[in-house]
Amino acid sequence: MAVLAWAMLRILTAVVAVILIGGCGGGSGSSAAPATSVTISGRVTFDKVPFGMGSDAGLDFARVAVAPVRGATVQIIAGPGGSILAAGLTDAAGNYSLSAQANIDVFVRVRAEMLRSGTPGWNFTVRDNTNFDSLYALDGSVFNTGSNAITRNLHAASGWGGSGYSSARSAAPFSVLDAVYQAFQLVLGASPGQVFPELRMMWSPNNRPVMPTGNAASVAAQRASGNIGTTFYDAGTPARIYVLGDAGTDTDEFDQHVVAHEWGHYYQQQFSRDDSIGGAHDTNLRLDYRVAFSEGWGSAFSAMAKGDPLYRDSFTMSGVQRDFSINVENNASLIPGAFNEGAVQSIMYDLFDNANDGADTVSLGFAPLHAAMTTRMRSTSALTTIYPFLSALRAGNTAQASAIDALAGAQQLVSITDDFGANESNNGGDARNLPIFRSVSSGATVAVCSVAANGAYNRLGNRKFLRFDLTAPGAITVRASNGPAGSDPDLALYSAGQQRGLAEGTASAAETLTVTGLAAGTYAIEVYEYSNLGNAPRGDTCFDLQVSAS
Amino acid sequence: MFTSSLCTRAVPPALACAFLLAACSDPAAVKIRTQTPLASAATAAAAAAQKTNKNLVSAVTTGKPGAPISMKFDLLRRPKVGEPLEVAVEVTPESAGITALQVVFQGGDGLQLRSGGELSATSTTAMPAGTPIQHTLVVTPVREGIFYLSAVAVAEGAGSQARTFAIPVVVGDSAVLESTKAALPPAASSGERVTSLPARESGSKP
Repeated sequence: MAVLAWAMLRILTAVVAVILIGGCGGGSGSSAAPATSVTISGRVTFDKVPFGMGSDAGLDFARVAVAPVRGATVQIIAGPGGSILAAGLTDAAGNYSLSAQANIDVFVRVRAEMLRSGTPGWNFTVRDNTNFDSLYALDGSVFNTGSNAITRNLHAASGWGGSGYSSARSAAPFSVLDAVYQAFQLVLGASPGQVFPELRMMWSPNNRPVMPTGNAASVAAQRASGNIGTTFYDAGTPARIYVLGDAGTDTDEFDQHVVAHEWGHYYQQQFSRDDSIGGAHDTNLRLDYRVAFSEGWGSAFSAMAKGDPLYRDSFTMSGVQRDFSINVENNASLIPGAFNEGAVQSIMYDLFDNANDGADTVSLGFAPLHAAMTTRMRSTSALTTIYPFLSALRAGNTAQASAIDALAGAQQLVSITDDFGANESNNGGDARNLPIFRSVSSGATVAVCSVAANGAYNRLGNRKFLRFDLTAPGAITVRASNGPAGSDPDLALYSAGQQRGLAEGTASAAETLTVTGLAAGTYAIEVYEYSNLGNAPRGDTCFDLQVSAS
Repeated sequence: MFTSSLCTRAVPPALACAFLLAACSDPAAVKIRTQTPLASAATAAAAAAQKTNKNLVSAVTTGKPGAPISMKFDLLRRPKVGEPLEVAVEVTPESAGITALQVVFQGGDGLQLRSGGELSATSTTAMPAGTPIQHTLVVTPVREGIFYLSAVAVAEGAGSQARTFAIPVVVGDSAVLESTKAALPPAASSGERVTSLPARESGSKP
């Protein structure tokens, strides 16, 4: 709480600083100090639409709460369409106060933006991807400043008309912004000097669950028309989170856990490392360890940011508001293990929260998790699974190591000894899935099997991993051979998550990858039967794998 | 057999049916993908889109957490105003834990749903993962334009989860596409484009 208060104080300080500038005639559009100024102040709020009571109730527009727009940019603009006369920020209660010249026509604009330069710093905006990425802004009407202090409260309404949207959905961008506010405040609490790379939240009422197809240019064009497929994180430059807004099927602007889940991916990619290969995922699946961690982290983070373990996602079916939920506090994973995102999210949230339940006797808060994510997870020679995370967390919190082990054990993870899950005994139902990283020495040959018993592309067993220690600078050659006729082994080499080489030839039953100019160190090797990534998997396909240094 | 309008009109045909399977974080933007020649992912995804019927087009990939279901659509003829249009659908459980599945289709603006608006499947045991459920529905386009046939799927198993899908249905000629392009939003004095939303105001007046 003290940390939160400190963060709020930082924002208030920033507000005061900007207001002082504005009061001195500052602002990007002013050219001369006004002869006489007046104070324009007020509160900025939005309709925060909660979920209905009980499960599967969907959004409840009858219980809309008026919530503050926090940390957003407020401008006084010479109206209509004139220059910016003053600018500042709303505080944690949504209040603002600015000075402007007396007796002129102006309007108040609240930008769907949280912007701060310096340290800490951030640049979060909400934009319309179907309208040239334009920034959303809440605009008041034009008025004359007169000669006395004025109160102008601005409210962003949901636009809900009783049975559907009947007017502008002004609240939507500010609800998205509010979810971001909660997310980055959580990080600031652990890292007060954090500088956040730019993130654009792309929301539109036209954003539908139509999956774009084709090449990158085609996909970009389709996203610009609203065909975004689903709410997702795009790790481009700048980073973006696309958010569904299609009122007929699926809107996510008020589903703040959904937004925060994607923000969790932004966090992991920007401040930690995310080696996830993406792909379909679900709490009932045995997933590639990297995917399980990334998605489990996203859901756990959303609960941390919201202070609510119940993730809810609304949708509209036959015109009726409904939702489904995921309780990240639920410890009863159907298929526990490091390959299951439900198990990962349960562990992550229990590490964070104050409520002890089941095997949970630890309450670390966010700072230790942030420390683990931004150190070992970022630099590990292994891939970004839960193992380097827990390994780092244990190392940084030795007094809690037993409690951490107990949480992991309850989800059938082995006691963590290294980043590679070296002594893991939970094989997910197939002994060939262990060890997770098989250590291989130069010149040795090992048998590796790519399997598809759990599905294809990103499921446990599709891709197998090896660990190789290069003792002196040089080259690594990986050779897969002796596969069955018609098989197609492929190979990749990673150094701390960076792909250093890839061999995806089409030669039958064999593949060779040679990467030169490598520094001494530990490398991760990925091998898979190519068809096990697609829709016609061969299933069990075994190869001899030989790794050599030169 | 006419494949989806999106497939044939909006994107190069060779690429039109290539789909990345799914991602909460955009797979096309994941670091290892950007460093990797995309042939593998793209080709694998293309293969994935041709599971049982090469003309069936995946409607959506999963992204945010949701029901482990994939869905493909195929428009069985070119959409024309006033003519019933059959749409073949494949709904595939991707997880072995699903015991009940309900899918509600919605025509929305411009598409009148004539039949097949709902698909329900239940099983005393879990449905087999990867086995598609076939379904056909009929819509009638009521005018020219770009419309969206959507579906909301709810899967029951270990809890209830949902997923939404949609495909565009282009009725009429490509000029429709041009007419629906957004107008450039007005620029602020700084040159920045802004989408203005109305505020409800209260407070004192000068």
